[in-house]
Amino acid sequence: MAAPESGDGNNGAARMVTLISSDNTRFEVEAAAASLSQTLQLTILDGGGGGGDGIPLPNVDSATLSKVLEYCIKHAPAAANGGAPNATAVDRAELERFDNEFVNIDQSVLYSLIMAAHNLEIEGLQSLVAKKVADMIKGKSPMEIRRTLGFPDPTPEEQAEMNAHMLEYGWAYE
Amino acid sequence: MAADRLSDLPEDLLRRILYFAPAKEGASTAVLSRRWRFLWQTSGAVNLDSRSYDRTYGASLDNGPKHEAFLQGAMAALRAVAANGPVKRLSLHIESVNIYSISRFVFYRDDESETDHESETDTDQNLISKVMSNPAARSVEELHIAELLEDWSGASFPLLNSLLLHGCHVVFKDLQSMIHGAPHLTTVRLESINILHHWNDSASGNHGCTICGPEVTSLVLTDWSGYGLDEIDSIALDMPKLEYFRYEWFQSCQVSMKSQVWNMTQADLHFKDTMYDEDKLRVTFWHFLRNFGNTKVLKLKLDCPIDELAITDMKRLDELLDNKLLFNLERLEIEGCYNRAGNNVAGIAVANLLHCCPIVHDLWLRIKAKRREVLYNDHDIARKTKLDFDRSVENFKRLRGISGGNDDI
Repeated sequence: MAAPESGDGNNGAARMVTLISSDNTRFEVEAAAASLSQTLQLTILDGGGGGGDGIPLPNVDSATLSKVLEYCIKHAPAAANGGAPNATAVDRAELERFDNEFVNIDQSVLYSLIMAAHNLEIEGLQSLVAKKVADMIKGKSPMEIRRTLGFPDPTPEEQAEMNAHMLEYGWAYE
Repeated sequence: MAADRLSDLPEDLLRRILYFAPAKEGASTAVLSRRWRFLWQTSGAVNLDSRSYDRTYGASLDNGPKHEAFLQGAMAALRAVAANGPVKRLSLHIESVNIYSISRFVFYRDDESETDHESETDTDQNLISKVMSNPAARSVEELHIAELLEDWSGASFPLLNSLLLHGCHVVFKDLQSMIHGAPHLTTVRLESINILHHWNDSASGNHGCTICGPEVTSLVLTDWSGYGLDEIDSIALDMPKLEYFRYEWFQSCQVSMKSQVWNMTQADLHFKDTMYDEDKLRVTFWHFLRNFGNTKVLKLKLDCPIDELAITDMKRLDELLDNKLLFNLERLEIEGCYNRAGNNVAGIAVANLLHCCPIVHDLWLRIKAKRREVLYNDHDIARKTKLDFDRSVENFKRLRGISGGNDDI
């Protein structure tokens, strides 16, 4: 029996901004969530992104952007860090669960995501995806790593170079 | 720019991925292609994981060749990364279900070559000490140690800013000197740890300890298994810049703040005692609360029925709180249970808590009846304990327009 939403406590609705993906889809999102991106934060602080304007993101397609925003919306309260008067307490265990579930996706999506997080400078998301990709090679042999990461089998020339390298760094290949 | 394949990513991002990869597997990516040849070496991280050796040597840790390979690999990895710049991240993960095999792995010695040495060489034989005292590790800014149920001597990391110990035994003195020797340390996570005393401290009867972290802003302190500290009765935290504090512990060990904390924004406190000498529990609890005078958000989780915290005599409550209230607290969350036959005592406890928080305007309660796994509607509790509760609610409504939390009150 939740109490009716009483807005933001202080002065009503939160500020919204519009982001436009490379394929021209418009996403309306709270400024606080979009500000997880260091790149967007500057534009937003300057008053951009409001009303009909929107911030174009020519490097991010709509599928990736919606995934990025899903992350930002979930993490925005934690990033606010009690600074706002009505900051909701953050349930860190819940965030961890969300993160684990969030990166449980196809490799190609992971790569688009880390690229977008890099372009938009979203620190937490970059680390989250990097850790996930690093986990994919854990405990694997060099050949298994090659296949997991989608590298073609080496040419004979490459193989010879590799053998030389492996002699030098034997500890990594036993 | 979309990236569907790993090879579409710029080198910075590939390095970032390798920053989290175990050293052995990371190093072996050098043969993926020419582009990858030097990527791992320039990642700035050495993550050592005993599981990297399971494929070749089997999962058991009680294994000399595995110990040797791990040690050689660790030294080679430190050397290779340090040759390309400072090692910024060092992590150690030694995994086993059997703590005795971890000990044998860490202290593995070849019996034949050791017969003419006395036990003096213990530290020299400690795998962890060897890794951590490697000169290449002096530059480490981020140290993670997981599942290390074995004493390890502290090393010094003067540039450390983030320390995570998970599921480890740690000798208090080593922990203290590690934190003390790291003036830039801002994040400390001591999760599921067991803090031990050095034997000659226990002998001298000195069972209290202080952890001093002048720059620490975030601290997590959660206890190991269920017994808290075996030998330590109290921990004083001297961390004046603390902003976030998560604490999960048994109150048989008292934790207190040695210095005034001005900037605390959130404290998550989970008290795990389920049965205790009641009055001592009460006293410890209310004393502990005094530490959070400036906190904005307080989340309380109690494993004992909240009834046990109730103080009927307001004068005594003020004494226990030393007349200090949580003057900055804006949001209070309480999760726990109450005794069904408790005659409204739970309500008194909630009222006591509200009494401490004069300006709170977000209140979230989830207090269910003990034993029965029915989650009671919070209104039931309010009804049961109407008098005390309503009086307090009235009080803070008067002080501040109530805005309603995201749950019932």
